[in-house]
Amino acid sequence: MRISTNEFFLGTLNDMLAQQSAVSNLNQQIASGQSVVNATDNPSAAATILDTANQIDEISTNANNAQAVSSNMNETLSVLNQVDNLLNQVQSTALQGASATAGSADRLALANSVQGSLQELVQLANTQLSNGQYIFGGSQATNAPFQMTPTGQVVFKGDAGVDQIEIGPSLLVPVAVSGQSVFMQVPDGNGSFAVAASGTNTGTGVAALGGVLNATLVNSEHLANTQFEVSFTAGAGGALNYSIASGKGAPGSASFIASSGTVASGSYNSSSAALSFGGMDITFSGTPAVGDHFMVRTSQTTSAFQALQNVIAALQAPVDGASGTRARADQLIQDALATLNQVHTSVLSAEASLGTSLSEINAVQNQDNAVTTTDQANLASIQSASLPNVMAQFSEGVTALQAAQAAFGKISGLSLFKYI
Amino acid sequence: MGGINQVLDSALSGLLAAQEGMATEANNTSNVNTPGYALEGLNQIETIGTTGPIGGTGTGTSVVSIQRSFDQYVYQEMVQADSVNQAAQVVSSGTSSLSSVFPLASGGAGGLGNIIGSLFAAANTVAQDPANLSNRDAFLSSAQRMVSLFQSVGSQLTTNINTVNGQITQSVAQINNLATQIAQINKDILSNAGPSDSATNSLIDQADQLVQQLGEQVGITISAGASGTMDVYLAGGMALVNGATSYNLSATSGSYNDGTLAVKYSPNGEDLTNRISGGQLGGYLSMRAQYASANDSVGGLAVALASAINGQQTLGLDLNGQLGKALFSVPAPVVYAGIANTGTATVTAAITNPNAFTPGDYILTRIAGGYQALNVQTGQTTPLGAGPTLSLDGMSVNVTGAANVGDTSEIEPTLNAASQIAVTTTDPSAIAAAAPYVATAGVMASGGISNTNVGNVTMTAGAPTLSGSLPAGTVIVPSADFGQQLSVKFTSATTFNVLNSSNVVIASGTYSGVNGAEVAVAYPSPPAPAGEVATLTLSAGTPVTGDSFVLTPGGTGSNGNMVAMASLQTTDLLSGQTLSDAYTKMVTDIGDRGAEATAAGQAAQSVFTRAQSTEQSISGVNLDEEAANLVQLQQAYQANAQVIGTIQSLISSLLTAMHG
Repeated sequence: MRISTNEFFLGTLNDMLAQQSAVSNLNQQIASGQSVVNATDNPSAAATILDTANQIDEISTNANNAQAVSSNMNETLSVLNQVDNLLNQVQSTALQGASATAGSADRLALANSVQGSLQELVQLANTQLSNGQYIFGGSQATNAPFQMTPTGQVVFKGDAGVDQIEIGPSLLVPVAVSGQSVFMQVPDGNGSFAVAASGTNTGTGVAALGGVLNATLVNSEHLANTQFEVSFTAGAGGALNYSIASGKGAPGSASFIASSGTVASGSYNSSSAALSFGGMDITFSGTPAVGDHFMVRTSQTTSAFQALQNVIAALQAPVDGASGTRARADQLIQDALATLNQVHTSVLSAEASLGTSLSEINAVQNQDNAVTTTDQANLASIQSASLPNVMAQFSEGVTALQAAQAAFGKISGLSLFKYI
Repeated sequence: MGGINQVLDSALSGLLAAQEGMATEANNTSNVNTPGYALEGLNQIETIGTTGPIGGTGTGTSVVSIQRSFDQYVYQEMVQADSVNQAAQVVSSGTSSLSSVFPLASGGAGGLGNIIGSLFAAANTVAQDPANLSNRDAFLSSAQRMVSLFQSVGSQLTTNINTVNGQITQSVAQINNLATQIAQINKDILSNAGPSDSATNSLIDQADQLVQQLGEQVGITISAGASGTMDVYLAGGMALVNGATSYNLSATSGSYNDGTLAVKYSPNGEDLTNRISGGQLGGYLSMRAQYASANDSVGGLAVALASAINGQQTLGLDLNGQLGKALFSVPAPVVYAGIANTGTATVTAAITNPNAFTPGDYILTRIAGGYQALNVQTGQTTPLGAGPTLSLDGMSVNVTGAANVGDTSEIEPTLNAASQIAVTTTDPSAIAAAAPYVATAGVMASGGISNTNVGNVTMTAGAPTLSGSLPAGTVIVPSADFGQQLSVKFTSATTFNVLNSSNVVIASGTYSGVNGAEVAVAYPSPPAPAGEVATLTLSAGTPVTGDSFVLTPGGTGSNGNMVAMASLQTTDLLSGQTLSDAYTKMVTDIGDRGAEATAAGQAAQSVFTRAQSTEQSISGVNLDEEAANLVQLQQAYQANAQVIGTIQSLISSLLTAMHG
């Protein structure tokens, strides 16, 4: 084909410009280390890059949440551990008081020490996180949730609002435990039922809480607020008889109505002093006197603070004096210890639920790390320029450009006019 | 038979032809770099010879005309290819600059998608510690950074659109100018009509060059007119140049005063905007549509994000215990009334549900008995009913006043959303992080909550929802009581009352031990969206008369609403997609169009290069060829001169012989 002189120069020039643009593009890839800088570079990679980067961001947000939650949870756990220790201490103090050798004065001293523990427990329940939020206050973050009234009652000023946070797609974990459920919702007695001795008892009988024989029955008694009164009466031939009446109202008082009448009765035998009624059983130690009463009811909600108050009250109860005084005090201590145990259970179950959440968070974090690592590798493989390849292409491009320039130099010197 | 004079005449004609030839070669050589110049050559013929008894002899040569070396078909191919190439280059460089607005480097760091992700990360930080003011501040500054990027992207795209409008004006001016010049040259050629000579050739060369330039501005078709003139038509058949007459285009407002220039055919005012293709003008028009579409899409993201977060704000409580207010302000859809409207209707629009909305413009037309809307992007027409309030793809359109049939309005729903989105507060306590209600078992006593419940029913606060989606039998507390402390009290194992803070019964409901019961507190609306309720659930179980729950507004430590706000990141908000999916789709679409444009640009470039070299192989000047021709002509000249010299010496020897 005939080629015009203009075309001759222009064509070579266009070729060189194209080479230059390719070399410049490769140079940019080398400088930035990235092969895809704009969506135009590679539209199909663009979607993967943005989606992957977005997933990495979302996981990092979740991981950040998980981190914050586990740090809160660990702080909470450490407070609950202190509560644990405190309860153990109170328990051993109460046991000291229950010892047969402890006199009234000793017990008053022990009561004072528990009084100190009570103050400490209120403080622990009002622990603030490093950010100033009260751990056990629910959503009422800025006021101390547990306040002691002048009469020594502890009032819960918080609420049951426990925050949750997302640590994975649609995976919400609670960031705290409800202070109400840990400290204010403790069943008294053995968790199912409780016993109390009448203040006029004169015998040495002390009732120990046994187990639940019929949970359904106990539950319906609970819902119906059924009360039981165990009364000891004189039987034939100096024997001791017992009868158990069930009804409504406070047993032992005028308001008690034995609406369901006597549910069990018999002869009391100190060698087999276990009495079963209403799906529960209790076992007496010592010997009740004729006319002694014991009141049994299903557990009611009390607070950890009240449990300590009960211990204090039990220790303050006199042990010397008229017959039956020590047995009544022993009964009080026994009841208080049983309730203290329920407080312990409540704290332990809060610790367990935190532990479960923490291990769940841990598992999610491990999973997140694995996914992030894979994602980052994917992102790098899509987006990063493969330097050996790019360098090779770059050298090729430079060589070709140099060749084109040299050729242009030669070609431009060709002219017939030089020879005529 | 010829005499000696005839020999002399023959030689002289050769000498003159060689001279003229050399002049042509000299002209070719001197125009080697002149754009539009077509190689010229002599149209040389042998003159008619004489007749004689022993046969005639030749009488020499003569130059009939000077011919341009030119192929109309090849030339037209080149002009077309040039036109396509110009459009492709404009689009290719435009799309690549458009795609750089949405960077991908380092996983899209610093881009809109990334910065929206940062906002949600900041929302999660607030959720981690809702009472913490510095977290709240960080969330607001993150919102501010995001808004700034939206504004900057929006204004960049708006600037691009304005620049393109300016380029369209210039291009139209140039088209008019070129058309006028071509018509003038046509006129000159016509008045100069005669044999093809160098003067005419140079006029035609100029016209060719101008037509090619015109083709670079806009797609044209050419047809050869009389005497080498050229008629030029737009791709649609409208004449730009017809003989000595030119026709103008104009760049003026279209059917709406929306600042978008329409290209019109001046003689009849016809709007050619959607019919023009090719040339830089075609490229500009295509780029303007792409910039506008990108601006709409980015605006769509802004609207969806703002509307979701603003909506969530009104469902939670701020640090002062008040329902939250909008955190973002976004401009409402812009509506332009048709210039030709005859009615008095005013149209306003609002985006009510971004999730059902697809960014793009609509044309609302009054038809007999109602309205219809044309989706400009898809070309789909939807009948809308009689109004005055119309529901259109996630928008609510309101018409006041009377529209006449044929009246139109252009709705640009997200025109200014990106460039004008703003954060409305700097007060960190305005973030509504807290859930509206928290349920706690028990009753209020001595300023605290004392739990004496006997039964095992629990009560938990749920997510706000629309009252329409509540299960049957839900007890709804009227919005007048919203915000106060409420309580729920069982009056039997199957019934309960809801009481206000003064212990007045405001609602009551029935409870099922198997299914529990639902309680909902209606939000005051506004600020909350109509029909929103806060939900609370009584679990299945066995209640005992007197069992109670206290419902208190979420305290400063509550993050219920913030968690919901943070989870908007993974909620479908715009056109049935999450924001990040919508962003990815937008960027990928732009990338796809850009990659296509780059490929098309390269293809058009090489087609043009080939067409140009074909044209140049016919009409271009080759200096080596000129040199060779020159040598040839020089030799012809010398030979003819030699013939004259020989004749002279013949005559001189004849005279010498006669004079002795």
